[in-house]
Amino acid sequence: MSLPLQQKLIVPGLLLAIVIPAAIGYITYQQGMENTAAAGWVGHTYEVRAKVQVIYTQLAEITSSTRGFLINGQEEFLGPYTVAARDIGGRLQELRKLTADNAEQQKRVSALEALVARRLTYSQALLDIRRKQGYQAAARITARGEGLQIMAEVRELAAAMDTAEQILLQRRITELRENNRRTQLLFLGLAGSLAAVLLAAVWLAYRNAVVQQRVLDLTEQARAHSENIVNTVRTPLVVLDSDLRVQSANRAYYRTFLVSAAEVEGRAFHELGSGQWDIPGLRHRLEEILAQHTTLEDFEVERDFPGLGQRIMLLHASKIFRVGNNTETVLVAIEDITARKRAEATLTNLSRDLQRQNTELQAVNQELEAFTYTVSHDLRAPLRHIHGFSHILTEEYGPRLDAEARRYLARVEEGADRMGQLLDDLLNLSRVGRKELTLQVTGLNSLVEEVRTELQPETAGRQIDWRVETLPFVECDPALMKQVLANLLGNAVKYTHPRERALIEVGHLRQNGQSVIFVRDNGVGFSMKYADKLFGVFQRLHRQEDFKGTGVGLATVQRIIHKHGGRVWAESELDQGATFFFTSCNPAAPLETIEHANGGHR
Amino acid sequence: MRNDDSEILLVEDSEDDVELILHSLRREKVANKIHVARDGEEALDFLFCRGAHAERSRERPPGVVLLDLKLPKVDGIEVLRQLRAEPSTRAIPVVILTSSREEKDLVNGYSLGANSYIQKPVNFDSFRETVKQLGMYWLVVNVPPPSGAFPRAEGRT
Repeated sequence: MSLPLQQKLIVPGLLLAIVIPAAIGYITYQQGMENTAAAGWVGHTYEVRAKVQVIYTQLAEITSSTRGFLINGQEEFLGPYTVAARDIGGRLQELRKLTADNAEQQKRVSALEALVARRLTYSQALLDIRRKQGYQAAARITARGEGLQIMAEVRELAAAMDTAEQILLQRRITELRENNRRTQLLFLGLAGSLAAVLLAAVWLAYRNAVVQQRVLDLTEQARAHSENIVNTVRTPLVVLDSDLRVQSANRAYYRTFLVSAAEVEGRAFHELGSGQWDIPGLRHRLEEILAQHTTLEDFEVERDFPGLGQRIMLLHASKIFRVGNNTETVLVAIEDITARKRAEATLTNLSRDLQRQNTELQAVNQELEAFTYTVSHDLRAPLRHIHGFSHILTEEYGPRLDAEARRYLARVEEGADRMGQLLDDLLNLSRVGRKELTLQVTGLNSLVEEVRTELQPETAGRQIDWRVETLPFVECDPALMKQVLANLLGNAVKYTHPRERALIEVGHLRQNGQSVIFVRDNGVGFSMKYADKLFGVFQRLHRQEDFKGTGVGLATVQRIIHKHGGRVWAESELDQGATFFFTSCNPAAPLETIEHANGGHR
Repeated sequence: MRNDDSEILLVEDSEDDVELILHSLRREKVANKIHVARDGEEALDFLFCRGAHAERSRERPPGVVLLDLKLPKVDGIEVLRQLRAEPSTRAIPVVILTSSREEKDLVNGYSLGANSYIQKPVNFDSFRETVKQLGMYWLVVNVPPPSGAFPRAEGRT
């Protein structure tokens, strides 16, 4: 049963508890009244019967008194007659009043009055005859028996009236009994209802008590639960009363500040420990919390705590209203932020270091750029002059020089040429390193074709068998990817030079789910024990006289592939050709953005 | 060559480069008068007919300017800027001829309206070939704007 329903039942229940006793009272009163009325009716019946009896008796007295006078003629015998004759009219009047509610009886009363009148007239006549004509004349009239006849009619009439009254009484008693029985039933019903209402009230009260007990149990459980939480929580908590004295503290407080409950409870907050919380600003703020409903947030306290050393604590406080005893308290939560502060300081330092390093790095980068510019401009200029003038010397003064001098001049020119090439390659390498990638989906086959066209001066007059597979489209920087292919294909052309028929393959295979591009040749190859030197700057595995080169090409290839997040490696055997592989991507920039529809055609 | 009468302005600080360029142009039989300016300021004086060149006629601008970028006093980019800002010199073809292949120089040069950008090759054969093609293009193939087509706005400074 829900509480609202109980509440709804209270008013009707209360009304029933009032109405039912009132009804019982009313019914009881009503029955008493009816019984009184019934008793009245019984009395009335007896009164009627008595009245009839009196009238009959008086008539009998009139008869016997008349008879006495007739016999001895003495007037004193007529005393009872005179009294009865005088009163009987009043009696009849009373009887008529008594039976006023009953028309039948009224008719009988009228008949009785007529008989009484006849009897009185008859008696009067007898008395007159006796006085005037004597006994014999009167006796003759009596012998006719009229007096007896009147009395017989009166008896009959009285009996009828009596019977009528009896029947009436009987009927009233029966009605009363019936009425009493109904009333008793109603009484019983009402009493039963009252009992039910009382029973319900008692049951509700019992239930209420049970619920109340359960609420109390739950409240106690909740209190225990919250106390458990407060004690389990790792933040030190203190509850202060309105005088800022410690009401209680949790386990974390005792543990953190190395104190016991006895040392803390009941003492003023600012007196705790070494007076660590005795800070005028803090006390003022705590007082404000109670007075002005404010809260205290992030109040930092840095000092030497007994047994803990130098610490930084962060205080938060707010008002708590305790319903139980209607008191206001202040909950203070204390957070040890020493470690965090130190970490922050370290982080700030690190970040400052990083900032400085970054600035330094930028300066170095700028220096590098300036240097590159100088190399590009200032070193190339004298080189150009050396080359230019030695060339003019050879051209214009060659005929006047001997062969040795001309050979030396040629060496000067070659040296300047090579240095020019070296500078160009180095600058390119540095530019590749600094350049931002401009990624776009590029068909590798078209790049291979462009490179082959540009290699025509070197391949002219040579027998080269090109086998280029259908290559994928990849997301890459097309200019840089072209440099990769130009270097690899250029190398393949260069190192197959000794072969009568060169074979150069460009293909594509899958390895560990990655797309790998390879360039294979049947050239002079290299020994794998020098493979680690292959991609280093200025590292060469061949003599300049055999194969010209600056040793920067493969370093550039590696730098470009690394910039694309890919990997480059080579496999070879001396005099057995070489294969260079590369993946030009990391998983975030898949090599095969669009796989070519056609398969390879090897 | 057709535009024999128009002058070539060579702006170059390096004596060696000047000699190599002149040598190449002579070898290619370029008959045009070549004026050499050794720094940016001198180049501007020549172009705007002022200072040492005050007596020069503005009606006869050079047919082409060969401009180095790294110059004493006023650098090549600044020379180009002033040249393009002035209506009477705006139409003169300018070829940047420099050792630098730095991207920022390329971008600056083209965005200021250079007509060509040529890096001087180290190899003298290539260098000479480049100078030859330059001469062919700008002095034979290219039709220069009519003289006085872009008069200097008088009364304006």
